[in-house]
Amino acid sequence: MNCQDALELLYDIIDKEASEIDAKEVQEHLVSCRDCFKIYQLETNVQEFIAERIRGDGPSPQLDSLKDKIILRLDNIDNEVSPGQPPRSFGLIAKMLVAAACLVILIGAASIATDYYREYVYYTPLASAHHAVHDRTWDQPTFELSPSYLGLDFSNLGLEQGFVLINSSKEQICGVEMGHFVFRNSELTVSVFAALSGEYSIPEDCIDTQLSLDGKTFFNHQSNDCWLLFHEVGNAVIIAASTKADFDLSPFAPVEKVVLTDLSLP
Amino acid sequence: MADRKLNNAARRKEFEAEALPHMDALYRTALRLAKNQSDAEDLVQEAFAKAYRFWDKFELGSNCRAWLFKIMTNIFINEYRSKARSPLQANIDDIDDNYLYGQLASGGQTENPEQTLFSKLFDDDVKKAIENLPDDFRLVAVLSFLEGFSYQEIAEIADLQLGTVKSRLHRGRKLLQRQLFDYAVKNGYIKEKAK
Ligand SMILES: [Zn+2]
Repeated sequence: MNCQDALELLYDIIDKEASEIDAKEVQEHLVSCRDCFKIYQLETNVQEFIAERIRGDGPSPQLDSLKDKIILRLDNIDNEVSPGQPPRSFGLIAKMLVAAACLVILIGAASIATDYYREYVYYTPLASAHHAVHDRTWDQPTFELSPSYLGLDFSNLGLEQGFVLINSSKEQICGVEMGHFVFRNSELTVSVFAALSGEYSIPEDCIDTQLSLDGKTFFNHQSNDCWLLFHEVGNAVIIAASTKADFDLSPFAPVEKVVLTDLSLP
Repeated sequence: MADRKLNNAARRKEFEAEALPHMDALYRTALRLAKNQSDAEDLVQEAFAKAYRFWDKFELGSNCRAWLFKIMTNIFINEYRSKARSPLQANIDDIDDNYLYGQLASGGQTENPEQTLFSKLFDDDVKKAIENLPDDFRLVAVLSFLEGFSYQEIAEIADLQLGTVKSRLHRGRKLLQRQLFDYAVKNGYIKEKAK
């Protein structure tokens, strides 16, 4: 192992994330390399120092009163008419989840995932779009959207790449009604959500890469191995996701208002 | 997995035994995330209220602490995280790796030059440096440094890719080291290395 390899593993070692083999090789390198040893020593000390100082409050006097407040909240929830029911805006997502007959649990053995997580995580359009392309089978498609939905023509999107609209439905997400359009070609699935821009705004965490197309700004956000595209056109916010990590979603970003055609495709 | 359909008394009993003991940890993290006591208390209360509503879906025996942190993190991201980008964010890439080492170890005269720096810095200096981190970096830093969650657990809690967790932690560390050093120089604790 050379110095560069050793230093690349620095934080993995400090955070106890390195494999045993790597840790052993680093150890061997540090024995013979004074420079790397000094860097490791300083970084380890810095890490311990920071961790110790931010942990250092000791028990807070506020904790007892906080516990009382929490107990009061629990009492209030117990006294609601139907305790344990999710808030209304979660309802449709729950149905979506039931509809997806076999949910693939993506997370491994040390998983902290539960059904609750899925329901909870997928309540943003970004996460729902991701869920739609990864987990849902769409073997019982619906075409329930009114053609005038948001004044945008979705049926032509992605045509040149052989995409066909296989589902269009209204879904309630974050308490906002959104149009959900699912496209598929021989290779992959693309999920597009559309909502009135006043109702839903582009979240702050979509700043990973920013690109422009025809003078419009796009935010490409990589999440869980799928690319998501956000942009605003006319009065709508469009959110698109694909099953392929590096797939260019720009064909699914309508850049202007167009006349609608019938969405109930063959 | 179907709901467990608990009655109120059973749900309450389980929740108080399994979830409530994590209140101290949630509050400690909430303080670093929300930066003030009253927002931190609200954040913890919201998290427990939401967790309680969904308790029938929690799989007994799975990691309750991580489950609660995920709920709280989600609320933080959606409701508390500031919309403004931090001014610190602009120049992260200008900061060298192992920044403190580069600044402190040049002369090589003392065995542990960082000890001088540590001995001068107060708890509040370190907390301020953490709180100055942009929200996204602070979140992963606190989950790692304060709570000791693994990269994989943080990825699941914050709904991020593993690579994103690592890069945010790495950049967070650089910003922390830079801030601590600048702070020490500004207060005359140490002298800046001659350029
Ligand atoms: Zn070396």
